[in-house]
Amino acid sequence: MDKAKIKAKLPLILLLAFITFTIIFPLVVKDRFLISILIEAGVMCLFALGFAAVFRSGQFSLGQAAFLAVGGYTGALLASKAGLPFWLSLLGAGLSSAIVAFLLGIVILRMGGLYFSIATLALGEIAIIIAKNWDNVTSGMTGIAVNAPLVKIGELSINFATTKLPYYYIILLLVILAALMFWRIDRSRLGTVVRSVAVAPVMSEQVGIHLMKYRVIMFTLAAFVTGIAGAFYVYYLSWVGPPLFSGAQSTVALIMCVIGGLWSAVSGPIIGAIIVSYFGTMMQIHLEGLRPLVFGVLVIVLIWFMPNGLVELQYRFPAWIKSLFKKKGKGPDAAA
Amino acid sequence: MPLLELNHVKKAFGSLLALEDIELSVNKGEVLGIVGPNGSGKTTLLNVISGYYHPSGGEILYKGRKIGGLRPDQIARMGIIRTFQQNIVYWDTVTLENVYRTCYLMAKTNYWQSFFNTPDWVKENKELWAKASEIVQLFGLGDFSFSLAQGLPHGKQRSLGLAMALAADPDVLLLDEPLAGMDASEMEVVLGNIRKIIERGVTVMLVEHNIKTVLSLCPRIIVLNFGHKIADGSGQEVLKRQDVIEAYLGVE
Amino acid sequence: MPPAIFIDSLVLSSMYILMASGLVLVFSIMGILNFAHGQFYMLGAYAIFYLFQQAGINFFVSLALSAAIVGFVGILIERYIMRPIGQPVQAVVITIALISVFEGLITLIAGPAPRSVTSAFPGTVSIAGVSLSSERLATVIIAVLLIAALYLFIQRTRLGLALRAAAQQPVAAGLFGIQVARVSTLVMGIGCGLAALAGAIMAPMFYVDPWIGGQPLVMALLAIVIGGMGSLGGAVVGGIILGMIGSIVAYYIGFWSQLISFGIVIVILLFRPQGLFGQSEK
Repeated sequence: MDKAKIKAKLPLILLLAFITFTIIFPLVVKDRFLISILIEAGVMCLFALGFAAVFRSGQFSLGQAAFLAVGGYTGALLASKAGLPFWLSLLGAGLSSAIVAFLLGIVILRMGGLYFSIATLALGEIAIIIAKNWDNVTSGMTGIAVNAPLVKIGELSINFATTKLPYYYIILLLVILAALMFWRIDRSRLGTVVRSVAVAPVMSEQVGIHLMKYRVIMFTLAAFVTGIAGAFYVYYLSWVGPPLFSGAQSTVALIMCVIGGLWSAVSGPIIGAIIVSYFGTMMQIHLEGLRPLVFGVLVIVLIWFMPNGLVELQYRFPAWIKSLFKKKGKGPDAAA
Repeated sequence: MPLLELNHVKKAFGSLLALEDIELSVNKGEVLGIVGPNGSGKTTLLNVISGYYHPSGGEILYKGRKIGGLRPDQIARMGIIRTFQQNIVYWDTVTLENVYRTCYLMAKTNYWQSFFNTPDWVKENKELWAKASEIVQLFGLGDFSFSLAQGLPHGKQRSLGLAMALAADPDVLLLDEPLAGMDASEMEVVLGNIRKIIERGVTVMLVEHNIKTVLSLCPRIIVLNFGHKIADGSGQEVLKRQDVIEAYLGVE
Repeated sequence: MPPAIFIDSLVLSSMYILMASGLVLVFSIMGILNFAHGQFYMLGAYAIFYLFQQAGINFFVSLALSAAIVGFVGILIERYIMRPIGQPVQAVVITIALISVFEGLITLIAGPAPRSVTSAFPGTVSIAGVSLSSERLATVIIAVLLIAALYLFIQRTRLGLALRAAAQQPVAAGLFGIQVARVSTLVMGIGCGLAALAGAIMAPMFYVDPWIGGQPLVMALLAIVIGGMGSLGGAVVGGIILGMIGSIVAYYIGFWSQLISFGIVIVILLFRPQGLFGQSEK
């Protein structure tokens, strides 16, 4: 019995071990460069999680970078012009992205998957154009400079200007929180309903599920998380400007999720984001331009050889459901 | 008061009149067959009732409320559920979970409770799975509980469609050609399943081509032709009528 | 409104029309939207750079060569990369991945720094007392000629007829002796070639770098959404509308015209989802 219990808890144990590892890591390994890569990877994790959330509801959002931009600029403005403290700026950035997503979502999500994707693509481009040209607000190409925050926790005050280390822990916290949220959603009734909407919308509508509601919810949530990611990134770089949000970024999100596993809500995007970020940055040092090429080719090869990434799921799901059922003891073989 | 009433219902696609001046009154517990040659508007009628099309004219009353113009999911929540000619199932998962997902309407706890895994939700979730299992067994799909829904043989898939519809707790069930493409033995199974649904007191409206089946199942039949309702009564009465015979002969 | 702005609107419209028409043609063959279409625009621009700017080949010959080379690349892509894939979702993901592949490849070969192509038609021309840029004027004329040629080809030649038949009813067309596969290949080549031409003729007016394909793609998508997915005529109308907004409206209110373009697309989609000339699905 004990062996079985341990086996069941194994994923949880591994996860806790991994988290502990990530917490201790920077204290032991003093490689600043590596830490900065990991911080950027963390931002991309949030970004990928957002994309995955929208994907789970059945839509391709090819313009998620727009929400990074909205969050980034909102955060910068809240920090520099309104003088808001760190956490409030992040929250404000997330909220503004969420509001924009909500307002846009209720319109463009009606239009059907393909048109929605085109609309988000256009949104991504428009966001950059606005960033470049709306001088009054975004200061165009010069961008906005943001002072490193001074965070006071009780009596401990952390000055972000001296070391980047606090950023690592904050992004770690944010990623854990976002991952937890999306994971819980996926396992809860909301996740089931969202999956129904994605897989067979016509059928789901027929059993009383309001499709738009769930698409908008996931789109808005994704934007919230992405907005916070954007604001955090801006704080980290102490600057926001148009070059940060290149058009290709949204396709990078897709690539991350494909590499990590399209069909998982949380672990796939995170793994994909870390891998892509890490190797991407490594490659960019040695040879600029190689990264998009390699990843593009990788995605194509992956799809060639595993056109149904689903295949794995097909085998995992029945077993999972069986185990779920047996635990409850109400299965057909449970009675006398 | 009749459960479902159609008054002067009309549906036009541009200049094409798919349904014209449909008058229909259905009482609770009735089993109604809808027949007619191809293109007579049978499926359109179902689509209009279930909310896929909005009526171009007239009104549809369900439990006394006007439902013309409501979204399909709103109408479903009021108790009108339908099946589709081409069976739609959740292809990404197994039979049992298919039915579990369509138990959507039976869940009473809210999303926050589910998110935080409260005891209420845990209990209700167990009940939902149990309910799904019960329905799966009822329709003879027990052995296929853990098979991929997509891979089921045609007849079983059709039964699954019925199971999913029943799981949505319907007061009125609209069946769109449930027997299409079946051989004799599959037909028997599906018919049996439909009978089980009727036994539960669900009001059923059935669109079918197979006259024999309709006669055996439905005490009342309406006949559509070119969007008009040309007959409404018991099987015997309706099929003796000259205009009904002509409508069919004219096509065959 | 200054005549220069009017010419600009014609320039923009031509570019969008060429891109959008190409995209419609490719869509009719691949069955999905090719999100890498913008990359053919970029390739066309680089082709002109190397053929005309660097190698000094005659401008018009370079144009033709650019179209042919890029068209050929498009054919290869469709046959060897896209065709093996069955499902549309996967195919779309591949086209999206192709964007990165092309951008990366070109960055590797040509470097990320922007290049410029000097105009084949320098200076200005005086028409009715108004001074207009020769380059822009020439661009419009060339584009109009290309579009007219495309129209004539499709409407008036036997090959064009075969093309239309094959696009609409491949099986029936096959029965009538039309070699659908060959026609498909041709259409694919033309579609990508059009994008390349757009890139090539616009190259002298802007700079050339690996990422210039992004915006033309979006505009092409918006144009065919406005006009209706399967319709060439719709692509033309969509291109004209977007071109007008992009220049004339932009002249008066600046970069917000982009939002207006976007807004118009959304409004059209909400009230007429099949586009102005598309066929209704229901």
